[in-house]
Amino acid sequence: MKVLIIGCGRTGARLARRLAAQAHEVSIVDNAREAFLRLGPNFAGKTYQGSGLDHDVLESAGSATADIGVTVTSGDNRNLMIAQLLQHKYGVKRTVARLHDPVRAEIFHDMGIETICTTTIVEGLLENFINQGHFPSLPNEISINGDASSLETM
Amino acid sequence: MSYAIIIGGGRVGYHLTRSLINNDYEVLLMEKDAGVFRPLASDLGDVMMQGDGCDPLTLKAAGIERADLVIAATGDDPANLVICQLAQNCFKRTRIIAVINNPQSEELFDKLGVRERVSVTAAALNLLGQKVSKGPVILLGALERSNIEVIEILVDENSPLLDAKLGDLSLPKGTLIISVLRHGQALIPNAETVFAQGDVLVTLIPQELEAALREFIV
Repeated sequence: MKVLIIGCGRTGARLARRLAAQAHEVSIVDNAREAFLRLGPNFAGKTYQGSGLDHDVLESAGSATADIGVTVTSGDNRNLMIAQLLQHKYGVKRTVARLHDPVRAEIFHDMGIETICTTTIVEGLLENFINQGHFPSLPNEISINGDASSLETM
Repeated sequence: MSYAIIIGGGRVGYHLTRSLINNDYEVLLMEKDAGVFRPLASDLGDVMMQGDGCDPLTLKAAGIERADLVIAATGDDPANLVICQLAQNCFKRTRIIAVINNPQSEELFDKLGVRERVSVTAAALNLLGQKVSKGPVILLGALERSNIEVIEILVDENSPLLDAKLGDLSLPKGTLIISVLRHGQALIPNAETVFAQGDVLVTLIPQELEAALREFIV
């Protein structure tokens, strides 16, 4: 799949590495060149420095042919705007915006924009931990307690 | 009394607030940043509210549900878009105006149904363009909801329009000269009108014909 990731913070970089290792075609965009250091030396995808709101940057990163767009910059509003830009200007079929604010996340989800909310996820897991005495088990390789393996591969 | 909420206490938000107060609006100006908020609050008093206008809970606390007018005037287009979408979809407001900082954003705001927009950078560029433009054709602006531009054509001593009769000219089809400014008077031209030196022709033209018109005039 052609995956376009906007924002190369911890989440964006880890997701990009994981997907590239699964042989997905990954492009990742970030304002700051240093952010790409998080990808490590063996990253198989492509990096594009520039604003994720800039049409030229998105176009060179392949917005017109991406199968899915993921927006994980540090700003909720920016993630919502870029996800909608990918959807409505470039016709990207599937987009998902990462948000911290649960209220905005639900409102925009109801408006037809796929959102994932860090706050409600962490809140739910913690509630489970407190009431059940442990975290629920999550599917696949989702780690609740972190992952330091990147230390060795950097 | 109409109630207006303005989000963003920059220059646009501040001056707009003062002007709406003078026009008998009840106004609330919301600013997130404490450093920007404090001096505004000591100037405008009760009109000011400190808060993030992109947060639906804050908008609700500001009484957005009874607002007749919502203006998203921050310096950040993603914030302005979210404010407009919340006002539109979540709070069902009908009168919403967006300030657009980056001209590139305009297209998406339009696609997402934000109909009333003020593009501040584009407007400034346009005015600057008028000041620095040399030639006889000056772009004044574009009409909303169309691709029609308003331009001024100056008839100078080298103009091919000088002493020409409007009815004899083959201007690009679709060019509409709506008025001729002559000695400070606005005349309505007809096929018999003969252009004189110093005339300014106020003209409507589809954007795609502007280049052809410039070629015709120069």
